[in-house]
Amino acid sequence: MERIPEAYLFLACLFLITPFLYPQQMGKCCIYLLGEKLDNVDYFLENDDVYIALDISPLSSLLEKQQLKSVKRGEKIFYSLKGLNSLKSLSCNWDGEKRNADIAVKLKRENIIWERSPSSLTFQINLPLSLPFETGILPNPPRAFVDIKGVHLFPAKIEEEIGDNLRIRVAQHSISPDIVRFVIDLPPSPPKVEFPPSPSKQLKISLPSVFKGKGSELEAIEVKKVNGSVVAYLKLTQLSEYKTLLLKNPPRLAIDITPSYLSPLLASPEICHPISQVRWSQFSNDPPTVRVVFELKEQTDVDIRSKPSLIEVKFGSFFEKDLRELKGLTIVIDPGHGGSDPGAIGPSGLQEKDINLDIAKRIKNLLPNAVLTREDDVYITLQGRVDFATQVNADVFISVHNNALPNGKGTGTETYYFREDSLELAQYIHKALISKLGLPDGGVRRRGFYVIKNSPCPSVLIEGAYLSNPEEEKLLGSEGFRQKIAEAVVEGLKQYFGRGK
Amino acid sequence: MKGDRKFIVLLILLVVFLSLVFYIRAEKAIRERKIWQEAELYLADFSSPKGPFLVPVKIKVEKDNTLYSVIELLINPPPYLKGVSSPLPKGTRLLSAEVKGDTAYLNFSKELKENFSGGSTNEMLVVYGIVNTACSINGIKRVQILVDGKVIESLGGHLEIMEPLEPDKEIVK
Repeated sequence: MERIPEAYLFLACLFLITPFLYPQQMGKCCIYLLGEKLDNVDYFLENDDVYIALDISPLSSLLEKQQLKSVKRGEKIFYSLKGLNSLKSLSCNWDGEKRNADIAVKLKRENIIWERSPSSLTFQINLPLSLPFETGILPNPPRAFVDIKGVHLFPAKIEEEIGDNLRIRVAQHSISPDIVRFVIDLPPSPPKVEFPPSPSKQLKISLPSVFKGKGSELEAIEVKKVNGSVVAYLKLTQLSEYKTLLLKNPPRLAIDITPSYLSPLLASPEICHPISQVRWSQFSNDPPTVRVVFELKEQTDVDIRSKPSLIEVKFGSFFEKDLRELKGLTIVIDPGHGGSDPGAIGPSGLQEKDINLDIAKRIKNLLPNAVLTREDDVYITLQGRVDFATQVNADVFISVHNNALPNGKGTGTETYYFREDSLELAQYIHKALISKLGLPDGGVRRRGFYVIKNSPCPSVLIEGAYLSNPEEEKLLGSEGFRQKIAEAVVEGLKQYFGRGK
Repeated sequence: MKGDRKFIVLLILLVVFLSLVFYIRAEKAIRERKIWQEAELYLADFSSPKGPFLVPVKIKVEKDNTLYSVIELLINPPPYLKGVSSPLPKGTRLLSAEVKGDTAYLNFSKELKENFSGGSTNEMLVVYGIVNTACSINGIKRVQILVDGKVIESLGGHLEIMEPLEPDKEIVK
């Protein structure tokens, strides 16, 4: 009898030290693993962590060779909840009071993709693994929903406008079980909604023909060379309104098409000078606007025309139609200098004769009825040039030059005439040169240069820029600038012959 | 009385001195009119933002060999002239200058063409710098420019100089 209290004492002591011998609190808990409820799961607590006896095979695709923190007790393997939570695509919670564990997949904004085309709307929810979900349509107001099980949403709520008074809302519908509800507002007369089969890893919800006739689709961008100028074609399913913006620094042309959407088929076009890059984007969704940006190597004029389902952008702004005025005329273009006479030579060695010839050839490209006094690097006397104009019965004579002064001096554009019959021609061409080139205005001047003094028709001599000036030499070295001189001459001729009409 | 005589002598001396001064000045003026002649140098002024011009500068040169002296001054303008410079290319020399009738024949060294740096305005400055300057001399109405003794078509490909040229004031300020 006397020993009994000792035995009790011993048992009491044992009871007291048990927590120290076995620090883990073994027990049973309830787990929601990816939306599925598992009861009576063994667990224990250790060092602020929860270890759960778990069959992790549904998560095996997420482990990515990572070794999960685990403890073997008897037959069972216990996994650390903190270890599971450290996986990139998992989110785990532990409710100590209820002894509940949630193991769910993280869903972030970037996993939800939606696309609009002119008529349809498509959503795609990308999940790291296949999950069960429920779908349905609710009335008043009409909306489609998708409940995805086993998901934690980050952030807890997402709301987005998709235009046309439609919105998507994504929210954590409940925790334990973990359900995220995805809701799409529908227009008053609900269209057909196509849901994917459950379970799935990629949830694709499409609403075909949700928008009827609301805008065009940009199907293709093409860049072509036509008659010496570069034309870009924007092909649309139907014509929408567009706005253009010609910007400097860096030079670029932006075209906003509204209402419009990008076609998934849109591919990069082959580009050529003066285009250095073509970019496009769904610039805005309300109203749906597609922005196409042509990055340009230099400032250039553009002419934009639209035809049904086509926007035509001409870089350099010349259209056949505008040149009709000049058909049937003989326009003599005289590239100054040549052969043994280099003309002016720039500080980096650019020779005036070559620049003049290139500009003249560019004029001929724009104006097929132009005739050149020389097509090669040959010397022709001043009288020879005048004789040529007489032989071809020229209507106008334009001598193309570039200027120079000693010691790198001189800047700007000048146009020379001599006889009174040439003044008007000089004024038109000079105006076009100044507005296109943007160099200092050296004015229209009367000077007795031989070719303009003696040619049989109205004649001018243009001095595009100063080769002796290093900056202007650099300009003259660029194709785009020489093209601009050529365009200005044609523009001036067009206005000269179209005057008074 | 002695004082009166002294005064008269002084007066006579003064009159003699003054007559001498006036005589010398008059004689100098007459001589100048004989051997000096006025002309104009057309020099280049690059300072204007509206582009370069030719500026006429009045000079006096000896009557002998006027044309040669004037063109020499055009090549090497007097250093006291500020803001203007010779329009002719560097290294240009005048080989000979003659007048036949009312036409001046100016023969320059080959540097006139070889060192010409190009540009139509520049060519105007060179050609009409020469022509306008020569034609500022009495009796000269035209100028034939020669390079190394030969008639050439053009210095820079804008102006023809195969025939004698008359002055042009379009490029003069």
